[in-house]
Amino acid sequence: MSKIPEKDITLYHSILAKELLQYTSVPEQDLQAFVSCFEFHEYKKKDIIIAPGNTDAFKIFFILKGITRIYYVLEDKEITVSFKMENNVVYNGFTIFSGVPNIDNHEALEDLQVLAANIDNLEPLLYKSHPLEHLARKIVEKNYSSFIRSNYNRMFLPAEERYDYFMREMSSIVNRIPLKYVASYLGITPETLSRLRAKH
Amino acid sequence: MAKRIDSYLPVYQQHLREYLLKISPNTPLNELEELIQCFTIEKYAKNTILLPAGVNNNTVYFIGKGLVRIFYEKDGKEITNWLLEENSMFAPTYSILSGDTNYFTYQLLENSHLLKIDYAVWESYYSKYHAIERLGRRLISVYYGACMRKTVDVLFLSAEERYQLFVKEHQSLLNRVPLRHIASYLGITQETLSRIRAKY
Repeated sequence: MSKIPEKDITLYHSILAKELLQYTSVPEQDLQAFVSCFEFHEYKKKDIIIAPGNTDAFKIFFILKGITRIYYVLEDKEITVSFKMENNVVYNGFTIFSGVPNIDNHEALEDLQVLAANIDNLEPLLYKSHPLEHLARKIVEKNYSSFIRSNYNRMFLPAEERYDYFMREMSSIVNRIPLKYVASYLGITPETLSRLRAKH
Repeated sequence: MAKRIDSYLPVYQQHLREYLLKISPNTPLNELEELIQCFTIEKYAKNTILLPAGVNNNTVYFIGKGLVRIFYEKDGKEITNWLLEENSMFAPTYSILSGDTNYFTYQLLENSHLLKIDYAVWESYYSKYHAIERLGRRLISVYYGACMRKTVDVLFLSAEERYQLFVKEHQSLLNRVPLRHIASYLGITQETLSRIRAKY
């Protein structure tokens, strides 16, 4: 863990607090208790911040700066599942929600600055505060909906529509992602991706 | 003479109580009871389409007796996504949470008795009782976990391993569900399923 000035950690906690308040209002005291569980960490490009298996199974990350790529390995090939960027929350949903060992790699595509907390430290706060429990429920529901939505898109939308959707959702970071990962995410070859990009 | 449907209500309420307490053991019983009393009971004939694709009825269901098949259509074929038996809870959750069109069809494979509650009523208990909001968070986490687990199984287990897992976890369904639905649920053809079953 990096030792950083008190005023910086306060700033980072307030960035996280601001992001959480977008879901629902939470009393200041409860919100402070929640964000205070998060510690500052730095990672270098190519670091794996969550690995397959149960390593760091119960950590939750909030990205301050940088992008991550989530991928799993199937028959020696890397399949890219999604990308996370500034103000996104990253966690190992497999183990946290279903108890199975994690299959994903969360890789830093750039040098990363994050806030990280242990789920075990956050749970007691949810017990004590109804507004925090409400916040947690809203966050889980949103993530569940996103998961179902991205499964739906992958199953039903043709590559060109998925490309449009991706360009809209990820417009702010698409220049920072190597195209081969975008192709993998869309389930198309790099050549097909080039053709799609040439049309737009 | 057939028993009146209402006479089944107490035993299904007890099963619902047990199901919800398993999800969230420390829920105060009086609060849980208030929520359970909001469920009504209804019976349905075999093959009834409870909810077709394209429709959202904002209802949460608990199976007192019977069998539900949840499927979607792709390229003109029906793909069975879930098979649920007694003491399961289900709802068009993605559609309720996101407001998007429901793309699943909910069909009853047997004569069934279902407990049901309007989602608006269910959700009102989240703000009323902290413990019920916690129950709600845990419930959606369980759904999310089940979806993730299914994704992992389909990706990483062989057809035979998926069949063995199905037999282990859903023994009773083998006799109740037509084989073509089981094959679809496992993501294999009926021929492959027959081949695998011949070995056992």
